[in-house]
Amino acid sequence: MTMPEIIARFCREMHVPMVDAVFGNAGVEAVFQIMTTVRSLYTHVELERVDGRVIIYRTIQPQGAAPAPPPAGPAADFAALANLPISDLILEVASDGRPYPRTITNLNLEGLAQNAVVYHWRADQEEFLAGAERKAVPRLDSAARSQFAIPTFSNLREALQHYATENVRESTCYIFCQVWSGQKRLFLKAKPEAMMRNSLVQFLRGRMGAEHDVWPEQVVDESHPVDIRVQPRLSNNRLMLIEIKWLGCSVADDGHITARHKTPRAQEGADQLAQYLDDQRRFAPTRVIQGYYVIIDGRRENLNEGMTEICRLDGMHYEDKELEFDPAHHDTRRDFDPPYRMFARPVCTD
Amino acid sequence: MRFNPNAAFDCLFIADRLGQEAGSFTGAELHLFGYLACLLWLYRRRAVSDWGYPFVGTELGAPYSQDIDMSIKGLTERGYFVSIRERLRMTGSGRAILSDLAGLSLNQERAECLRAACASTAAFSVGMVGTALAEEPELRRARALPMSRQLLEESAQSQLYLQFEALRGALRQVGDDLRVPAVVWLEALYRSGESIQAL
Repeated sequence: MTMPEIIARFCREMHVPMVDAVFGNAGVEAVFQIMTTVRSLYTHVELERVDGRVIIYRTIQPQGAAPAPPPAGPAADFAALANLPISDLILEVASDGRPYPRTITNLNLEGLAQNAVVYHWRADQEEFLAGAERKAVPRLDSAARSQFAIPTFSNLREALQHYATENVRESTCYIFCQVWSGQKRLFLKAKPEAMMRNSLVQFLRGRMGAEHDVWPEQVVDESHPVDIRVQPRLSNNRLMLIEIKWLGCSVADDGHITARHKTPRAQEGADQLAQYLDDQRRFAPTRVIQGYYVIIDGRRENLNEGMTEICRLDGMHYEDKELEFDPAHHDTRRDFDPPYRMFARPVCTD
Repeated sequence: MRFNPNAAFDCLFIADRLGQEAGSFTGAELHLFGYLACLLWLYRRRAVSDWGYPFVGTELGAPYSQDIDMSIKGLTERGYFVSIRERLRMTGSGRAILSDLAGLSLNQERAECLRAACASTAAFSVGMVGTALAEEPELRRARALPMSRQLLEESAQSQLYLQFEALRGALRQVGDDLRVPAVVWLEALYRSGESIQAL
């Protein structure tokens, strides 16, 4: 397709020319006000947490008519919506350019659009309506839930998945490889938590550091378990908390086992993170907080103190054995991602 | 330090608009939106020489203007911008001088282009605007040739005018708000880059 053809295609397909054709300059003003409002809303509200619809509209007055005064009552405070459960959200951009919350029973989008520019989002689909016309909003970033939102949470998800395969699986990260007591990767060193945390911090800074602050936390006690905080510098109000736990056996320098962490340990970490997320929401009510639970899985079957090698059957026994959680916080709350179990393979004899 | 008054006005105008959105801005963003505004000036069939200062294209496909660079330094020295952690903020005195300058009739035509360029951030993130603009014919050529070169020289504008003619033709049914061709063109540029990468 030639460039003139591409230009012609997007003139036909985009919502902005559509609104211009229907309502003229007043419509263009309205559609830009609405897009600015939507962008501002999504810096404060995470679409993953929205059930139902988001509708934002601006009424177009007949030519020559005096602008309608803004509705009574305060304009919408987007920051206050950060951690509230949101179902349908309806906002009117008034003549002062500010958004006001509205309640409309039996809302008919097509009817509303007869004399308004209307933005409508539902289940990751978004469109603009104007008069009898409607057009979907083209989305340039397929990872985003809206053209007007920065996909912050999903960026970290993707980064963690890469970290599991690129750095942990074969212990290829130069920091992470130091968590092992020997080159065969059977036992972890005693207290490997700080090295695991530093490895993930270094990885995330490389991946996301241009636009995010990635901070390692000093773990004070079991009630303050979070290891890493990730925060966008500018784009929005999200705060991502990462907790790391490990499973397997750790040994001291002389080879004696110092800790054996099995399945119950994974549940403990999940419960701590859930509790911590509740606490944090009270301290930072204007931030949308999401918890990410990383479990470094170094379990080996039939592993005894003093062993220096392991067969493939025992070494890889847990590679595909998923952990089960009860309670499963990730199933019951939206601010808790499904746990990221990252199996770290040993070097086997066969 | 003497600096170009057009570039200084553009810096203040863009800084004010971007600051309203994000609170702060970077020097690179002033170059980017200044160049986009200059292209919209051409879309309005005005001469590039009347823009008042030139741009060069870097090897990375980004626009750069020495006049904008000097203006940023000068405006910071005079206290109109302050630097905070690698980003810039406009001060109250910066907004006051912009208010005076924006009222001058000689700035109205360029203000229309600057306003339309900055309004594109309603439809796209700043990063997307940069990605799209890197596909503009002049910056694409700059990327292909590993040296900084002046953009928008008379002899090199034919492809650009071809695209603008297509844009005018496709938008002939709609009004004359410059924000409309700005976002349609950026969308088309972004998509053209995607289709080239997919090949």
